[in-house]
Amino acid sequence: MSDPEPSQPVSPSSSGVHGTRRAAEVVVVSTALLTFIPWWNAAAVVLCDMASTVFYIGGIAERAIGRAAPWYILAVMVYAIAIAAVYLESCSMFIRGGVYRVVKEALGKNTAKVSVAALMFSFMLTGPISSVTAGIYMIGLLNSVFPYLDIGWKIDPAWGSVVLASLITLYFWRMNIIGIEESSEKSLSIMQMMTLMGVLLLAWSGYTLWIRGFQLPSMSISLSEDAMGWLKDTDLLKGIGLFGILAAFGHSVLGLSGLETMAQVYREIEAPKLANLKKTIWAIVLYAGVLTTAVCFAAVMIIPDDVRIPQYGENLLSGLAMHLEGPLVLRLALQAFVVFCGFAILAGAVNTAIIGSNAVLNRLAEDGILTDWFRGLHPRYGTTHRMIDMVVVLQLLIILISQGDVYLLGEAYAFGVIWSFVFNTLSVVVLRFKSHVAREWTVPFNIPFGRLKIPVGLAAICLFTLAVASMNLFTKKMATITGFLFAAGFWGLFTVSEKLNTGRRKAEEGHLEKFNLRHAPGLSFALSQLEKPNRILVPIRDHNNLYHLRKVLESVDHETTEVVAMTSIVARGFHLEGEHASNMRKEEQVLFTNVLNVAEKYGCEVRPLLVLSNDPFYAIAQAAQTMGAQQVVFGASQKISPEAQLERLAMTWGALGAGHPVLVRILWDDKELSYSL
Amino acid sequence: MTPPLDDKKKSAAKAAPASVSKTEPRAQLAKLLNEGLVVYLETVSSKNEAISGLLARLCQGRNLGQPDTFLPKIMEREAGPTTTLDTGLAIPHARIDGIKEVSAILGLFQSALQDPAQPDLPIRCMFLFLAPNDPKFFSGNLQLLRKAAVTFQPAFIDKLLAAKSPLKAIELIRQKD
Repeated sequence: MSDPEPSQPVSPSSSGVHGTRRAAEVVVVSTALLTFIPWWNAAAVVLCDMASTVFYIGGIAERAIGRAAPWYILAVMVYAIAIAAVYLESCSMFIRGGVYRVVKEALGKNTAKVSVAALMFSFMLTGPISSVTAGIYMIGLLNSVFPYLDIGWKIDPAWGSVVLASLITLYFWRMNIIGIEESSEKSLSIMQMMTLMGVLLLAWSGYTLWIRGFQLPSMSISLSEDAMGWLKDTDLLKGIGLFGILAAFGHSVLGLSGLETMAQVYREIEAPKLANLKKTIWAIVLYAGVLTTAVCFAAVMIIPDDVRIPQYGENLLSGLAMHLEGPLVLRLALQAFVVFCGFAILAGAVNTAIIGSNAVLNRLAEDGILTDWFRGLHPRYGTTHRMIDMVVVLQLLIILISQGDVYLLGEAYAFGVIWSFVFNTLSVVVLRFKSHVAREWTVPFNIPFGRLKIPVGLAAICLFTLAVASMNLFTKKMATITGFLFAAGFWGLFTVSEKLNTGRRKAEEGHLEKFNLRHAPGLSFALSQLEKPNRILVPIRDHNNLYHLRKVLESVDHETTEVVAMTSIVARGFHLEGEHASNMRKEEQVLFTNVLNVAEKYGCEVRPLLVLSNDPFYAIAQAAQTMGAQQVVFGASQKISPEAQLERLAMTWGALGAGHPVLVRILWDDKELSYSL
Repeated sequence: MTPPLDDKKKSAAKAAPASVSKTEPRAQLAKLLNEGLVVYLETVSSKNEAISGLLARLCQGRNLGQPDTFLPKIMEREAGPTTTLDTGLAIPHARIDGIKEVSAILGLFQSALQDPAQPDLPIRCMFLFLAPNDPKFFSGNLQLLRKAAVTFQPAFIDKLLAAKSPLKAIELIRQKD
């Protein structure tokens, strides 16, 4: 912006009043929620959790169900497509979806709290299981390299992994405090590296199998005593009956770790949202499915049975790298690369768990279940730092309690994720009959029956998920006990917090977003962040009249266009001190909350701006000239005719100087009035 | 307070073309004025009084008929968003059925006037005009408003006031055009 800023008052002359209508004070309204990410970044965020399971699921599942584990992992990956389809349908109804919103709409607030409490348990475990595994891989590598370097150290894998896991968690705590955009970029880099590792490992495994020959593992299950849980003394799990299959599947469901994050990340996905979500889903299920399944099969077929679980149960991929065909030095190098990638992606899973739980807690806070205190924004980065802090403290606590035992964490896991799927799927079924909101996409296999469509596909997914979850209750003792305890704890927290909030929230209608307000010395300064070549200024005033903003976002090319949504108010009621401003009035808070909702719906970034001025048209003209807007798009005013709006803007535009050519549009009810100035 | 958009406006709006500035003819203020249509006024003290006075002169100078025909239209527009700018300029105007071209008059005030609606904005220059009430001309109407606002900036108003002669004022405006 090299042009002189029109907001600067002109030099005093004989009248002594020139420039008194110019805006001198500007408040930049910000929140991390107004940024959107491309689908591959969203896929990377989810995959950083889901694909990371490849590093531990093989060992944990085989310990529970024997050599048949890869077949069940394959089945879980196919099942992931069904669950993703359910999420796709729920996301097409609710932008801020996720299990809480969907369950609340279908089954009520109390059931929603239970489902979220269960889900929070899985988020609390995803971080620790990933970070501890990362630690174990790293320490495993160090311990195997030390002898070659004549170093006589041997690091205790348990406590060493606890220390590393804590450091990883703290690192991503910091990243999330800074904001999702930076974190999702990091996830993308990790996934690029992970892809290289996957291709290398699978190609080398293929070569090894070609040289040595191979035999696919048997599909027969051999449940360990631990894996039978409370059913070990019954005949239910003897042989491969239906119960046995459900139990084995339940022990492999760990592979779906991170899938719920997809619903949380949906809000962040840029336009076109649903189409991009479909791409995200396919990327996730194909990537995680192929990588996880193929690696698990390769591990079982290549690593000898006598060392696979006893020696490499907790770092199976290191074992695979070391048992491939080739010279030792190359295998060691591959192991180092595997550990490096594993460390990175497992650390990324910690990030995803923090993002996911933060998003879930945000939905609860918006709904008045968590007190406003939790929603306080970080003064600099605009993130909900208190929620992030709480999640990270709990994860650190779990890391400490686990003492680096991955199997223990893996056993405890699945409870939350499978029950959150049960609630979510059941709710989507209920909503088919309860809510007639238009859906952009529905789970297939719907049989017409009179005026109804029977959701056969959805119902089948729901029944199967319920069966697996029920079986898990009996076979996964650790998961059931700790899951109930943890979920009850979260449910208690939500209930108490909601009670505390009830009185305070009674008067409020709907939720209001929290925004950071930053005092800027002038419009040039406030608009200096604009980078894209095309710029549209959208003046806003009435929170019920954002039709024009919607129309702009519907058609705008968000890759090349900056959209600034600006409101102008008389400089009263604001407290400006230094670079911070506070006391946003409720009217503006409602207005910007609605702007945020519109931006989320279309997945387009909007830059909100609040200008303190005693003439809104001067503020609009100044902002448009300063940002070099090619278009100024008004909504129709209920007080002023469109012609009078245009005339006043033409006058103020001229009063500020010649300015640049601009197209002024007024949009209402599918109609448009547009002129150039 | 103007009521919400009525059907007439909506249909006019629907028909209104989206125009591009480069295709618009540039408004030339000097061509709209002559010696009789640049007036230095000493005695008026309010915006409304100045509007009435200048409108009377405009009607006389352009043979438009009775000012009372046009005054209510101008006042109706004045009741909407202000036509006074913080540069010392006011642009009272109206779109009138039946007229074919723009008629304008420039008033210059040695003592600043007060706009009752904007008491903190003294008026030292008034560019009053009547324009055809034709959607096809609306773009020209906007260009004229913009041009007047660009032209009559504080320093230029000082120059016009110092000129004290309608002919010199027109010459200055021509140079500025």
